[in-house]
Amino acid sequence: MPSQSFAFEPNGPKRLTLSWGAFWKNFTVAVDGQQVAEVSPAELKAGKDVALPDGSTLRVHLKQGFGNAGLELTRNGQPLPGAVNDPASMVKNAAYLLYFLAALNAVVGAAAVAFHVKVLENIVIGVGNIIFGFIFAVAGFFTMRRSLVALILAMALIAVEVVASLVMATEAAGQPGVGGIFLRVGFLIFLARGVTGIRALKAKQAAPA
Amino acid sequence: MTPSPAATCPLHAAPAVGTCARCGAFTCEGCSRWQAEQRLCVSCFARLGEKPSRQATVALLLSTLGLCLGIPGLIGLWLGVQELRRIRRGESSAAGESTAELARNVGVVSLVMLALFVVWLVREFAP
Repeated sequence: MPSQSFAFEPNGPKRLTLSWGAFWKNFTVAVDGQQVAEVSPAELKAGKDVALPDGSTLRVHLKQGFGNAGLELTRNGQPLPGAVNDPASMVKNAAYLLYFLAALNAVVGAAAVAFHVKVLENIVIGVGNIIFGFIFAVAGFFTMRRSLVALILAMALIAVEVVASLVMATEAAGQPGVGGIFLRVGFLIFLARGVTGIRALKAKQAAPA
Repeated sequence: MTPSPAATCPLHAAPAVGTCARCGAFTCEGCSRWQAEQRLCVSCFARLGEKPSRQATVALLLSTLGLCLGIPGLIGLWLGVQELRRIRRGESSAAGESTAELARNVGVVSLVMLALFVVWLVREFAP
């Protein structure tokens, strides 16, 4: 049975535990190990307010739309730290994805060069991937520091790669790699959440205390 | 530690909900801050800072450079591990935890890159 724990404050103790079964059945909310509510899948999809023992209200909402799927959690209207709708988590996850792409490109490129892997060399994987990886890593570094420009540039790079692979496939009169294109579009959607996160954090910073 | 019901926060005279893990002062709900799951008072929290420490940022920068340049990644890895230890001991801001973790993980990838570079050197230039 999957479960996930959350803190009520950033870096605080994880007092809230959510657990659920297959297809979000038997969804329970527990605070400090004590169950406080059970939420049906229908309620979860519609969004449900749960009263917590300290008098605050937790809202659980299972979003299933394209590009914003996930379990959104707010307490008294504020996103819970670590939840999918928490701006800081959105930015962190976007930076992690960029570093993942960086590591993947760099290691595969370096392996192709070091071991002269014919299969990889045939699909033009090599030094270019190492450079590509480095660019993603630099974008990840600045995204971690909440740079909107770096994140948007990284997204533009992925978008250019999608267009380039389509053009190259057309010129070679072949079929474009549909799986690869879908994957990259998925990355773009995920990174777009990072843009939302950075904007939300900057708006919060600019707002008077 | 949970204080007795009579304890009050020295700043707001509100009922205390706990004590600062660093200085022991009573804190109310409004002025409790958290660092590595430990409650801190506002002044102790401010002392650690609300942003990632310089060491966490430098660690990530070096690890990032290490993806292409190798050696800086090893320094980034070492600094990231050190910073994580400091954060868990409560000596550095927890705001830098994910930065330090990332520095450590990217540092490990830099180590792999360095190993691949050595393999390339051996294969290309060994007699």
